[in-house]
Amino acid sequence: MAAYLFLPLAFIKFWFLEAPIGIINYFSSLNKAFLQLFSLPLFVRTFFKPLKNEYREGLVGFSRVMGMIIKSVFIFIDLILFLFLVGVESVIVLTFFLLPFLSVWILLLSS
Amino acid sequence: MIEQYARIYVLYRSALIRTVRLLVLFFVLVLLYSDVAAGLFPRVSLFLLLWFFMIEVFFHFKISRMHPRASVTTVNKDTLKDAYTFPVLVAFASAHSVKDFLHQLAKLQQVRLLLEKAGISADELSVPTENDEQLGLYAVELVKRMKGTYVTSMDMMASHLLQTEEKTKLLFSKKIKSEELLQLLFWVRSHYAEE
Repeated sequence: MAAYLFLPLAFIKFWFLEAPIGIINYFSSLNKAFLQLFSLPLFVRTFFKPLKNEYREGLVGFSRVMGMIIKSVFIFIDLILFLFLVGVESVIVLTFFLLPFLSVWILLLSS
Repeated sequence: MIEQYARIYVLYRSALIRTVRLLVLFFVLVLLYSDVAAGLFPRVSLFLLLWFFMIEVFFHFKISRMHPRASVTTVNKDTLKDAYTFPVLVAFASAHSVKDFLHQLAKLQQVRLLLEKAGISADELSVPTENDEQLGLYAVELVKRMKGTYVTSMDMMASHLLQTEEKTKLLFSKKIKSEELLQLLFWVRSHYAEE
């Protein structure tokens, strides 16, 4: 009988605490996989290094500049995609969190 | 408390409640369609649909995935059920006898795999003389031997097979030694580690 009484409390705890934490953990793992897949940390770490590990005399400066240009483009594209992903994730988390309030708000809307 | 949640879950999954849930969903969808068709904003139907969805999510991701309160090392004879996993408790809650309990267990995929690998069909599970407490105590000992944490449905079935072996000679007839069954149990447990 006690479980029936505690069911609404269990729902509230699940909906506003456990589930959002679970979703955020899942998304953080997804973000890590995304970053690894799109090599963003690697591009940032090797931003000033010469392209293709070029260390022959006279070519180092050119390789560095070329690498910076190419990596800048890739970093920019990666960042746009990453921001889009984070945006979608934020919308999902927020929608999930606000769903009970949203349902009441919909009900109270004047037709 | 987790036992009571298992009972609620059994009720929630019963044929009657399933039918009611389906009818509610159908009614809400019809209401939603009629509101939209009449050019009205579907306030009530959307509200009901959202709550239907939330309750389904709650049962699927919270109630059905409850974890045991205690490990096998901390339970005693009186608190055995605290170390049982949710599928075991659900089988307990939906069974009227030990025989029924074993047949409920035999419906689970992981138990079916254990029985299949041992070459035993669910019909061959004989009526046991032991009660559920003896079964549980033996299962706890098995889990301790396996260095496991909780008593799973597979442990319960293996416990039953080993405990009744003297009377039934079921394992003997299948040319399986108890050590081999334990190895099988160890393998199935690692295969279904999520339980």
